[in-house]
Amino acid sequence: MEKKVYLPGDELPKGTRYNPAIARREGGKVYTTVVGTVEKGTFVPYEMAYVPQGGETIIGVIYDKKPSAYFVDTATAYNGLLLSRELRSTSLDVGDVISAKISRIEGTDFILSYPRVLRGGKILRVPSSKVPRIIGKGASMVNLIKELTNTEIFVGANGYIWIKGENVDKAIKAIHYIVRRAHLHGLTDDIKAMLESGKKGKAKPKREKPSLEGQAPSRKAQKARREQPNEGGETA
Amino acid sequence: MGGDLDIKLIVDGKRLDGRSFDEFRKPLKLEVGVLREADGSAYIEWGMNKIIVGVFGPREAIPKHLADPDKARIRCTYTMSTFASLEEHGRMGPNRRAIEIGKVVREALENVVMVEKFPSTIIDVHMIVLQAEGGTRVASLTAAAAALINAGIPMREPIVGVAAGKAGGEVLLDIGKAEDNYGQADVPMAFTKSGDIVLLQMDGKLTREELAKAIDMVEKGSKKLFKLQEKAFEKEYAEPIGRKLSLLEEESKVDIHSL
Repeated sequence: MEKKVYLPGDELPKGTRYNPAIARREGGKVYTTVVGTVEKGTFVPYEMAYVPQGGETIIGVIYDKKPSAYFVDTATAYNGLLLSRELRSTSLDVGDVISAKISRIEGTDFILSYPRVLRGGKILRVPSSKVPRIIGKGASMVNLIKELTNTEIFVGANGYIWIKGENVDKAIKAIHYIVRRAHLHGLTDDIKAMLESGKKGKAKPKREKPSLEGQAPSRKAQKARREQPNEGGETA
Repeated sequence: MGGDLDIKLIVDGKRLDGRSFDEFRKPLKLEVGVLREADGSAYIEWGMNKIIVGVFGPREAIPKHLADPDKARIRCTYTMSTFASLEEHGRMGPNRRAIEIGKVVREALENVVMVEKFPSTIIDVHMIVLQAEGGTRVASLTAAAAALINAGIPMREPIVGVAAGKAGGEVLLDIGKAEDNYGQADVPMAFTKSGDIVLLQMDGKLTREELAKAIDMVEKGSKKLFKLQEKAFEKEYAEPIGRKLSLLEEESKVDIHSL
């Protein structure tokens, strides 16, 4: 094993930076509460249940409509509530997809603001813990996918992703690829290779495409290209 | 429990399947992340037991009256499949035994899951026994704890369970079906990593000394299960998640059109 896997209850090495939502302090020591690893002195979770923070942009689907408000499915433990007055002129229907900001959390409700209606396209759901990896550092990953597949992509912090454009299926494939390898290195290059290989040349039957598995860079090369893990947090 | 029957369960200092008194059944395999649609999942093979666990949540508590404004509720369902063992189980569903097991597993998990972090929500833990050979409640609990970790639900520490028992006058670790059915006692237990007991049931009779011996035995045995759990997670995150599933389109090797 080159990376140590930390399970809940394992003690983090002294000086490790961590997000207080996924670790606990007891008697001057810091213990993890989720599974993850330590990368460059930061505890990075492999899996993490969605913990909302105010001010995030999420994507939701309208599932009910009242004269003064819309109810939005967010695929989390929380219900989205969008007051009609937040919308200027358009009115929404059940089934419409919106992106909106969480202005505050009341009990199990998200009070949403700054809605934006997303017409057409496809929506898919991924674990919210993989969202930072899909967006990438400074949105590099999502921009790469947008560019190479000629699509428009919105990633909600809750794990809903909205895609519209030319090569939607390809973009979905790329996103699935990221989700399953979110804990590995060198993803940007993999995605680039994956999407560009499809671009060039004649359209071949699907199964004859070069397999990506074989082209994956060696472990050493991956290590060399190690990316910065997620930012923020406290120091143990 | 068979009580004091004439059936010989210990022959020449060995158990019926050739194990020594403190030995686990084989195979003992744990895998996590086996289901695509669940938030977390685990699959355990423990002797002839085969159990799959899926975890969902924290999600909205439905029906609403279940919501606790202070903490998340854990809802455990245990189901024995109709083909799980030789005896007929009839319909799959919540019978007396399943409800009991759901309850004891839930109470064990409530000790370690940080339920206070997700008020008014519910965490669903579904355990399905595909094949049974005694000791399914502790095997389910072990897999359920792994599935909860796999779902990224914060826990103070992991837990594992294993049953001890008495058969042929000896205290035994990880009792199998025959020892359970014809032995004198069955003591399922669950331990946290720091050594706290979170589940302790007893069916049959043990003396004080025998119970102390059983607890010691399980505590030692649980160390091995924690190792197993660690290994399962190391394996899961050493390679792309979901590689073992042919369900996923991108990695499936068989193309239906080429058949």
